[in-house]
Amino acid sequence: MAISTALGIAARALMAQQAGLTVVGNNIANVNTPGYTRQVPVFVEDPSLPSDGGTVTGSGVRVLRIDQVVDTLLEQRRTEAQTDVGYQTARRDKLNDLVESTNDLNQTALGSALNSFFDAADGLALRPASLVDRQTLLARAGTLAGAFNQRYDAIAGVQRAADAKISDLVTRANTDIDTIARANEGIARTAPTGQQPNDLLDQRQSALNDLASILGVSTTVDQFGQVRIAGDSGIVLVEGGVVVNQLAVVDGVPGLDDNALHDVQFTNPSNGQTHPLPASLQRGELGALFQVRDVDTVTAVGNLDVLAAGLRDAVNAVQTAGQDLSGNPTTTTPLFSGSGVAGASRSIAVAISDPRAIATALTTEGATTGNGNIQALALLRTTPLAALGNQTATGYLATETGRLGEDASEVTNRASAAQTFADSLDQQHASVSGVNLNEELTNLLRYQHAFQAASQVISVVNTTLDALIQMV
Amino acid sequence: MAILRVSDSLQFTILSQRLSQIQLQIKNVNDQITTGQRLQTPDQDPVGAAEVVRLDGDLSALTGYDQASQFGRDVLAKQDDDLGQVNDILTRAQEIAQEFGNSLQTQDQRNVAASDVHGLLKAVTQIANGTIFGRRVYAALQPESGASPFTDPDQAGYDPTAAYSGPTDPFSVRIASAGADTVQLTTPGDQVFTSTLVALKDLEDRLRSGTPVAPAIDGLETARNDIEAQRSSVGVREQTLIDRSDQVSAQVTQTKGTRSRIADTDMTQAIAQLSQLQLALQAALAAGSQIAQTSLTGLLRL
Repeated sequence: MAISTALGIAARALMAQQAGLTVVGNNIANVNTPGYTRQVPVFVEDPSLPSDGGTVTGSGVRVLRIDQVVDTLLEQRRTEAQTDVGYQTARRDKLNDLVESTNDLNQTALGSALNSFFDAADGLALRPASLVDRQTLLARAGTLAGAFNQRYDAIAGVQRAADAKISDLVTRANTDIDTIARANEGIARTAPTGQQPNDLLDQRQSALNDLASILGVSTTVDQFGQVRIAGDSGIVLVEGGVVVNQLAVVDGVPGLDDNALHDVQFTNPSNGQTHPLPASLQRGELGALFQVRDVDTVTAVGNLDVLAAGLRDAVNAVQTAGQDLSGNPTTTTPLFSGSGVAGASRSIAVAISDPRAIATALTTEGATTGNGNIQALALLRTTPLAALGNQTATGYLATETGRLGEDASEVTNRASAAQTFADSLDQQHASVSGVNLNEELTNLLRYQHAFQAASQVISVVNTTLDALIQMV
Repeated sequence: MAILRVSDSLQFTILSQRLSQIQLQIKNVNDQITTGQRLQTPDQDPVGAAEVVRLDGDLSALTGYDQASQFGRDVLAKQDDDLGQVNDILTRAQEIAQEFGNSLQTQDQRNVAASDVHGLLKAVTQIANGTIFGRRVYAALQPESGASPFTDPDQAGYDPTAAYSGPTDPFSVRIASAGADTVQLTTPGDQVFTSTLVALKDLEDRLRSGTPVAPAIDGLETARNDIEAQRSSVGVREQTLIDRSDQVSAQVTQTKGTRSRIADTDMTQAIAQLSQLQLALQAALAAGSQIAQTSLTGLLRL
């Protein structure tokens, strides 16, 4: 064996340990990088070579490749968990907005306006001829109608905010789809070299997790390491390095504020073909926003309409059965305007402006002294109404408050459970794939010492060669 | 899967999550302390929130019943006082009738007595036209600004049986939610005072005309019985309202207590919880600081 062989072994060892130092340096540099997966160099022996004397000796070391330390199954579970976290947290946030905007625990809420209206009716029942009390009742009726209108607007605002977020999510999802396709392309190009495109894998995994949190997707990996993304219904989003379908926003039906809501569909960028978003893909944040926009807010407004219409009709039925302060029948003078249930909370308003027009007396009573009619109106406070499912107006409102609160509470608990599960998977991911500085510093010392030892070999070989040269 | 290897990011992520959780809890407890409200939004306690909305409605209704009861008590107390005065007037009229029942007095003396009785008639009319809070007590509480319900006895052709021209309906207030729970506050004036006015007018006329007054005594007795009956009725209704006020006060206290238990902050508990959370936050921060010091980086630097 030539002495230069030893020199070559030492030189390759220097390069291998230097590569190890580089990997450690990269790990340390990315200790706080989100989505980074720690890497380890894979050292292999160089092939043994026969020497001049017929013996076979080793020829040193080389770095075969640099691997990511990753648990593939765990990563798949993390991706799936993101879908549930995305759905539950997005619905929790929006439902909390809905609960906040319809919070009857506030003093200025609908419940308070309802109580004030009936308080004014109670007061007017004691002083039926008092113009001050009549004006008070009219003002409170206006406040009550305004509270219905405001609540409608608030719910419509939550619906609009959810719709706006849908547009944002579509943009984000398309960015992720592009990122995944580009990463696939790069990964496929690297595959023949036998090297691991670690940065692209990290990039793709981050985009995949984000896309899963938005949409909920299923993935398969081909023999080249490229990921194929598809929905349960077979709509393919990414195939290799190609974006097969993107998401697109189109105008849909009018929302509660009369402006068009946004529908989402798939569009094939190459041929322009479109497909509706299948139900199976309406998971993740997008699914939650559709649920809030199309179900939760619509249900809340529907129930608010029932309350507004039920109360309006009951009050008007009493009002039109009496006589005003001048003794005229009020048959054609309802207190609240509007008809029908749909949109009642939005359209309800006070229909009269003259306080004398309030029917305090029954037609059988004196116009200035009778209070039978206004007592009947005040009694509505505690009268179960058929239109409200045989509940009082306050009872119906309380039920609705409880229903919304229950929904929000349930979703909060589900979001918390989903987040806890995702956190535990993240912790496992961090445990497997995260960088530990102590570990890296130990490796640093290890590679440093190996490097120093290889240097020492070179020094010894050098000394030996010098001695040989001196002998000449 | 157990955590077998702790990476740096795992250490700090867990620390960060724990700190965030504690800070969120501190914020919630702080909100409870500063607002006095344990229940901020319905999702914190949906059943409790629904109950609070119902209780607020109940409290509002109870306040209305209490106001009606107080108002009714004032009106009935006024009537009780008025009817007591009318009773005194009838007593005086009976004395006059007894005094002039033996026909020994001269006509001049009878005329003077007739004038006295006329004064009593005017006094009763004035009471019958009386007001409370600017409203006629014996005319279904109609506004004072309108015509008096009883005509002045000085008017020519005064007829006590037709002296009342006010409303014929009583005025009632509702003191509970049940359909029949109303209390009549006023009785139309003719039902209260007509027998009194007729008896006094009869006595006055007999005194002036020199006819025997003995028959008028029976009329006065009847009037007095009517007034006593009215007064008794007023007393019963007043007692009903007093009882109702007591009930409402008790219900309000109970309802407020229930509402407070659901919605209000238990300050002792909240402050204790705040101290506990602050301690936990300090401990978590200290632990985080310790974690940061255990790195090999420091040793290598040496």
